[in-house]
Amino acid sequence: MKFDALALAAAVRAGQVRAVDIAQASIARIHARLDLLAVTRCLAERALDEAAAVDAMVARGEDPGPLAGVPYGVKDLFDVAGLATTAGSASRIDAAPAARDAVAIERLRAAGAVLVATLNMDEFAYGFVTDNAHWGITRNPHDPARFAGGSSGGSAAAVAAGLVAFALGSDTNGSIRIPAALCGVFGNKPTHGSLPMDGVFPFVDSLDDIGAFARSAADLAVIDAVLRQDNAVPDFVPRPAVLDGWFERNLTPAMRFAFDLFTIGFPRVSLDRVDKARSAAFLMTAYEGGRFHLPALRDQALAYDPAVRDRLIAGAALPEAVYRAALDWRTTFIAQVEALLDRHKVLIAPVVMGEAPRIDDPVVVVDGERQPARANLGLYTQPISFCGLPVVSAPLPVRGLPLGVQLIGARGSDRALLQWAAGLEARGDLAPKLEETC
Amino acid sequence: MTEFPLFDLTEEAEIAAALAEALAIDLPEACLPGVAANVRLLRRHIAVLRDEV
Repeated sequence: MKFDALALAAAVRAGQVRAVDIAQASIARIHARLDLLAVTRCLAERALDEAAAVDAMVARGEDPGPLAGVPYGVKDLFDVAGLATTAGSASRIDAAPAARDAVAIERLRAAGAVLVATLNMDEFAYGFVTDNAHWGITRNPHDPARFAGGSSGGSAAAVAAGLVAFALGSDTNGSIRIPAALCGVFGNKPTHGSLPMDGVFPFVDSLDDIGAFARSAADLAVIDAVLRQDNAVPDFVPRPAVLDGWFERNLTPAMRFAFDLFTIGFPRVSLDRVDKARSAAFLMTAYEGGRFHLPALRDQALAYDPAVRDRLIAGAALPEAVYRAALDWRTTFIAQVEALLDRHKVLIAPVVMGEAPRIDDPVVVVDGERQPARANLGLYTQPISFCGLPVVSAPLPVRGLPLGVQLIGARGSDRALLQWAAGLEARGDLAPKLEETC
Repeated sequence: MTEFPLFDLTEEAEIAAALAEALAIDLPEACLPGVAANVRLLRRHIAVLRDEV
């Protein structure tokens, strides 16, 4: 049984497959792939209850919705009624259970989707590799010696391995786009603030967004429509351009080849001082994240993952003047980017420099220097989320390990961007890389 | 970068003392190397933001 969301929902709505059977298959797959360390909690009882409710609606001749019986998981920072929202931290395992589901989960349930699992992440979403001190390092389904990317690595790995049909994650600096690219699936970071954040554990309010991972752009578009409660697609005639300079430095040979092939014939355009935008995003993250966590750090610093704790403490010490300077540069930088988007509608950039880093050599090469992957995989994603723009992280059709591109749209063009990505996928210009067993 | 003295410090002990004062936090010894490394990393990003590099 392939876990394509649209196909599964169509079969359930037509009474050809029972949602309960799909949920059981998903649960079985989760238990068969515990080695991935993608899943933190399998919600078997809840999933079977939700699936039975979907089947009962079909039996009564009612339509359960566009995601009828489709199994999914959520990054472990979404509120799930009755469970502690850990945000990937062992320090929150005994937190008070959530009184209700996050709004995003409520909307998915109303559309017939079936929640099966919570998924691994970097602690408090502060990292790009999903190296979690308590739940372990999520493995890349395409090579278990490599990272899945992060911070929503469990979500990406679970979709790529076919444990669930789709998953929710969050993206502050690249935390959906990066794992989607490294695991070979589609992911979307929406226009900032356009999808519901109620019931999502925060990291950096100015930059946080939720989004989804799926096996196709068409699946992603349906999930987005459910989350957004809007399926309208405006007219859209892109004249895509490729971001050069900063965004074309440091690519691995495999990425260089695949990226050039994908972007052949598109004009190249430049942004000024992308390095400054990336540093500003880095500092905003450290400042807001550090200040949010400071009260807890004063009380229980040693309960944090050391790699996260030390970043947060340093960030909490940043002066407000630095934060204000970062915000000022954001205004200037956004004006530059929006001028390009007025002309081109879509800008294209790599997601990361190349293939997923190896777990035993957790570095990336930036300007000839080996730098920690945990903090530096966001080289190309941070300057874009800094602007609050919608992005589809799309897998390139490659033979080796997965590689991905960012399709960047103007503010509010989320729906059109997803439809355009689906067209590219239908043409074969984009292709997910899924575990062959699925 | 004397405007932000904490981010000019290089010695772990000095950074710990400055942080303890600035944040009213009793910094566990285990945090010192990692926090100091992150202070230095943020210093580099501040320099980029302020066009100092």
